[in-house]
Amino acid sequence: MGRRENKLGILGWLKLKGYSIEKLMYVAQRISGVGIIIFLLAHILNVGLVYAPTKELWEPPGIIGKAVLVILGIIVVFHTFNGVRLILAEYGFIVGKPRRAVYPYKMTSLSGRQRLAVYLVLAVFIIIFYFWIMVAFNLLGW
Amino acid sequence: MKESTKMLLHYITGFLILITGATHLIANNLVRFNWIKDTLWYPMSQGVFLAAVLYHAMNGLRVILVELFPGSSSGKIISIILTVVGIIFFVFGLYFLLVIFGGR
Repeated sequence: MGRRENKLGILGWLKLKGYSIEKLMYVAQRISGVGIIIFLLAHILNVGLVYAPTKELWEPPGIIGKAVLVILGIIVVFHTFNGVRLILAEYGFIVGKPRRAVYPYKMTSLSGRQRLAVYLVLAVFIIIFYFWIMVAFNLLGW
Repeated sequence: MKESTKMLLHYITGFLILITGATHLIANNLVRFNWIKDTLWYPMSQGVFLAAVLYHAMNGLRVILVELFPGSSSGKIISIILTVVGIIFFVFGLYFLLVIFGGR
């Protein structure tokens, strides 16, 4: 099976050394996506089976349950902003124009506005992360 | 359906989630904005939210799984399973949206 030779599977996500920061964002987008899916399906079942008949909202109990919701909020914020960046990059709005390959071979499609968007996403994420942690500390009663 | 059509729908539903999901979070978590839930538009936007978020979730999962298990036959199996799961959760969610909002 020749095509399996280069197959790293899910372990390939952990290989970040030597890759650009976009690889880190790609992995984070996938992990956060899977996390949100798990919450989403559990939330639909929870609301449907517990809230709809009794009109009482069930929330995960204890400090671990609250911590899960706090982490979920952070994950959703990251996934949203990075997702907007990915849509813009996909349709070429933030990707630089291609250029003739002359020494020193700087990739305009990866640097410039595209890279700026990555830093912007990280900056917005860190700012909201800060405020969210402030809210979470009140929520957790620390 | 072409792969590019699936991804275009992925981005369109992503944008829809941005709007309807924000409505969902604001209306349910901020006491000042609880009145949104009493409007007629809210259940309708939540129906859109349910459909969009389930398509986005299942397509996202499909993209991950297809990358991890390449090949056209495994791709078909993954697509069928995720479509069935998505439809089950959509019917389930829509039924309970009607139970919750249908009584007024």
